[in-house]
Amino acid sequence: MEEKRFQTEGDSSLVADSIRGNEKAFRELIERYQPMAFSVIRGVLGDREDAEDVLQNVFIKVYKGLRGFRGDAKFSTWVYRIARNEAVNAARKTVLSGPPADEVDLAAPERSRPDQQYRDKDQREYLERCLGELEENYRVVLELRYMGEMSYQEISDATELPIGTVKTYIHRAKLELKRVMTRRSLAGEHRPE
Amino acid sequence: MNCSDIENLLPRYHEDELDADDRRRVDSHVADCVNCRESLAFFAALETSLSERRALRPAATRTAARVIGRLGLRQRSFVLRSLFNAPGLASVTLIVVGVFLLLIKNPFVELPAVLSRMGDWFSLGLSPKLASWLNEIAQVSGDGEWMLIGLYLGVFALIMLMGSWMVLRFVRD
Repeated sequence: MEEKRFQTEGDSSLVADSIRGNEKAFRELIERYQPMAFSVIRGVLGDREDAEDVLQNVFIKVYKGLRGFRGDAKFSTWVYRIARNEAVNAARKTVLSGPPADEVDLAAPERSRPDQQYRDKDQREYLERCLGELEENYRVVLELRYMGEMSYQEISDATELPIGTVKTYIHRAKLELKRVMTRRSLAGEHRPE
Repeated sequence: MNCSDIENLLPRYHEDELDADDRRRVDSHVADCVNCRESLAFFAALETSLSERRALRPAATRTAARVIGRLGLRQRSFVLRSLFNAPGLASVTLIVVGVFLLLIKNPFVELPAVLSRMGDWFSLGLSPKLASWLNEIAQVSGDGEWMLIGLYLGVFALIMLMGSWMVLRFVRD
């Protein structure tokens, strides 16, 4: 009964309940904003093993900062800022301590045919490498759109970018991806089919 | 429109972000241009590939469980949640006081006697100060029947107030 109530509850009410120590309210906030936070982290850090740790740190910071959230900005904007800062800090730490392992074993969805699994994994890794060459601003917005399944309006609210700019970034990101893939293909890198 | 102009429109084609005129221009151009047709197919495939990457996203419920675990938050039962807040604790205290008062069959006679007896126990050396304070209260309550009636009514009213607050809280949660 309580879970269903929280699903329809507004952010400000969930924040108030979370501050009062209601764990289910905070759980709902995490589930609501996890896709966005993860997309931002992927947009900044790219394909890294520690993305999930950074994601958890984001929500721990969100919880600890709930009392300081005054509601001047939208809750999504606030979480976006925390996620971006946390990801940027994680990226800085990596620069100081050395790069992470280059190849990450991406969990492939269960398929019946092993050759299909390898093909999917190759395709994904190729796409990740190409995405890694995009400008960070483009990558973050693209991740919010596809990984986070957010509408242009939601992206605009969270990032505080005008909706026209969001559309332009996504448009340019796709054109840039095509250029990157063409260049890689001209350089002899095989693009998995 | 040349190929370069069309190429700029293609990323928006599959997102339904083109107006009707631009969409018609693209359709008529790609019908005759192999390169742009391939580009359009590329953007369609890219759309699918980007969307399929959602599978890489960890389950939100798993993230929530881990964060809640790391924060050490636990969902308390309703009874505990109702008790472990200031009004809840106040209600419980008042209920205990009320029960204590009700257990004394004839408060006008027995309460002063009980307090006096408690004063005697404390005067056995445990706390002479508390003993004299209890004896003083015993004296006052023995003299003031109306004060006790007022106390009863006050306690009853507060218990009712806190009880209704707890019921409201239960309905809300």
